[in-house]
Amino acid sequence: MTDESGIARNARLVSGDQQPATFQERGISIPFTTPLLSQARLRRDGDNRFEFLLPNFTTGRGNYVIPMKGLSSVMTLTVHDRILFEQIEALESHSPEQVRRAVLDVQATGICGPDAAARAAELLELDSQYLVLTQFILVTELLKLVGIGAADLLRPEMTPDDSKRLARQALAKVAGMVGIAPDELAGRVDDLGVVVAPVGLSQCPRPGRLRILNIRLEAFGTELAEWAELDGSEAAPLGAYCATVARQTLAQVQQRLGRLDAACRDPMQIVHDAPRLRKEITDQVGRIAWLLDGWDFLLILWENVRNASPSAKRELVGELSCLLPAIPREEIGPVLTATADIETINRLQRRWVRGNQDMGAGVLDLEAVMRLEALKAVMA
Amino acid sequence: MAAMNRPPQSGQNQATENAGGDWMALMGDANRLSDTKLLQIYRLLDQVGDKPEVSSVFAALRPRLANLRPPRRQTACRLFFRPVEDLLDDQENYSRRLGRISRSTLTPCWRALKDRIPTALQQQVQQAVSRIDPNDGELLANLCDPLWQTGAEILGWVLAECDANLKQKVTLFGRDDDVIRQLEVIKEIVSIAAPVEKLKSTLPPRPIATLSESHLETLRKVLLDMGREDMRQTMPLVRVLSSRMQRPGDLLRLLGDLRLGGPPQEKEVMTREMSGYIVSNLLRQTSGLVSDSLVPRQAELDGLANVAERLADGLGSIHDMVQGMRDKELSGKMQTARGEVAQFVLKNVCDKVSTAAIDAVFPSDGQAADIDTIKKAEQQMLALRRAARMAGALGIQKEVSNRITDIRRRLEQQTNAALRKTPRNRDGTLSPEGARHMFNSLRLVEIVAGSEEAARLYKEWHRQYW
Repeated sequence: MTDESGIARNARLVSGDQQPATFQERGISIPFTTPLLSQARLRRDGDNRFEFLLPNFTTGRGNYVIPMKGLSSVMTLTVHDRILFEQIEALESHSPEQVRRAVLDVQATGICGPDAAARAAELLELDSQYLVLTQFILVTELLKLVGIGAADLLRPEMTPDDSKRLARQALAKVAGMVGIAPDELAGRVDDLGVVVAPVGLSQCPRPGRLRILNIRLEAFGTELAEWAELDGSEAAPLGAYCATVARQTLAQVQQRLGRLDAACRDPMQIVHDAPRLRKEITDQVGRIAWLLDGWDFLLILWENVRNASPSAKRELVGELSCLLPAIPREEIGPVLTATADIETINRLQRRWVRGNQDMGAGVLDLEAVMRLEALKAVMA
Repeated sequence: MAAMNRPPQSGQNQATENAGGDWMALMGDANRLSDTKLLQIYRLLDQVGDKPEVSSVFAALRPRLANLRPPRRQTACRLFFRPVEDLLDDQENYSRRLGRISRSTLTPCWRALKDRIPTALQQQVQQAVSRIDPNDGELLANLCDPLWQTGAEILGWVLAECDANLKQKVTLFGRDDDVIRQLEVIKEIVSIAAPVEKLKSTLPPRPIATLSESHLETLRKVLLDMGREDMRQTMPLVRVLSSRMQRPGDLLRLLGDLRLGGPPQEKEVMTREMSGYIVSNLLRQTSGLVSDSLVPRQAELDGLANVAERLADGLGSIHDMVQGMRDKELSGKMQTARGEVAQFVLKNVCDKVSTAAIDAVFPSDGQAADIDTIKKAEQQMLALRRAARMAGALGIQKEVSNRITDIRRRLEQQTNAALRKTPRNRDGTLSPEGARHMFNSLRLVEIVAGSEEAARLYKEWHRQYW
């Protein structure tokens, strides 16, 4: 049962306008299906225990922070969320990528509906295909060192086995150049592929998942800025605020992408300085994943109202403005939007966000649950 | 449909008879046609224009068109009646003296107005609207305002003429005084059409379940502005809005809290009148349940439960207010209405939820069911869950609860059987097929019996079979 007073007893309200110091303080957004937990952010408290920030609870009056352990005693949770909790707790470390994998694994079971399950299975398959492609590109980059290009491996008269044999021979030659075992070089390639695949290599003919998300975010920022200019309502500053945060995020992602692409440009580093390269890639990919964490859900929400009435757009913009992933101070200095001060934003948010229907109803609002499941069925 | 494109070959009567037969056939087929075919037919009919037989076919197609929402040609006639669309009822569902409007009244009304409203104005508005975003209700209201103002004024003259000249009245609208009452309603609403349409575009789409602070503030402002000029002007607005709300009682409460202009007694009378309207409108809808005429015949089970839930919610929202009015007759009617919704739920939802849909989720070959089969079962469980949600208010907890228990037990039995039968992995753990059975079943249990029950079963099955 959802018990408002229970939440008040177990949780504390923190201001929603404080910029977090670190990504860890901001937490990872999790696509839960319990409406009050939708887009809750998971983080660790001072005692290293899990706690959640609930942005979808106070309709713009800040964030409730609630310990993970106490959650089930104050609100009814969907079975999906209970299983996801178990999976998240069992993870060794908690990065957006690891949590995403856990989310997809649970979703693929079918516990949040057949469409969401099919989408999760599809995404897991795409991830694994993209990993293979990334590793292939890394190999071709290495083979360039011994004068063999991708075209040489894919000549029409060659069978797949011929291609593999040629690649192995060429890789052995590259390994021999620096005096390491061919298997070790292959292991390095596999490992680097895993690390870089979420973003993908700039040399890859198909952009990686986070690059695509970045492109969508760019379109969203432009659209929101245009919308805010044209919409004459009081919600317009909230749209401008969303566009500003999107652009600030994009600028940060762009910087990180630049550094990542520069690091991956020289294949010699794979053979000469793999640990340093791995660290650099891990750092950049990790930061990009953190920066873009939570945006996919918001972009899907906006894409859903693209053809809707102006009032539906205004209402959604109000909701989006409460869920924006803030860029922490470690990534960017104190952020103050030029379009409106925080107090104005908070006042407008309170006016434009409709109360959660689940609140006070005492039971889980199944329609709201299914709306969230439908979003999971189109997530990227 | 062939007759529609074919010129009459023999006598006019023969052709009319044939065409009549085709119209009837089309109406009969309306629910069997594919979406694409239905939309094709809709577009063709839309070109045919204003004919009685076309109206009947539209009435048959309307429930599906309401879901498909094809783009509509914005004719001057449609634009003129847009502000009253929430009050329209098909001829067979129309009840007199409730302040509603029968769709059959629109044709004679427009016939009387069409030649009196300047053609240039009609064309100008129509063209202007065709160039804008159809979702931009505010702009549309501004563009249509001259049409509404002129039309309302002319309708006023026509009604005055009819009042003074019985022959004119009979020629234009027949002898039924109720038609004149409907025309009065149309005039009242169209007179304030611009603020009505602007407000509609600001609020969430119908049925409105909840309102944000900005919505409430806008609503209050519009009501106060109108009420300051003339308290009675707010009546048509409230009538339109209450038809858009899932809990119309909420609107009455808001109205009760506002200080409109004029003496308090007048407001009391008005609130009473509006309460009567809202109650009667809900009663009208519930009485239609008996004949099922308000419910799409081919609707999915969950759709039927949804209709019942909306009515039960609406009745719930006005319950306290009706009690406060101490009107025995009205309270009695409310009681009857509740009883009718309860019967509808038991007959059309609980009795129709089939164990066959559940059994289909566990095919005999041991494979996991396909997506369509799972969705079908989900729809049935959702319908039952809705029934459970309103059971308390309708006094049918026991019946609904028993049905849920039956269904849950069936699910448990089938799952246990499937999990025992499904081959396990080499290491003894549950195979992917088994896991799929388990999670599909847990989802259905969660929908029908709630998350706690599903979580209990998850633990049990996990311990037993994982």
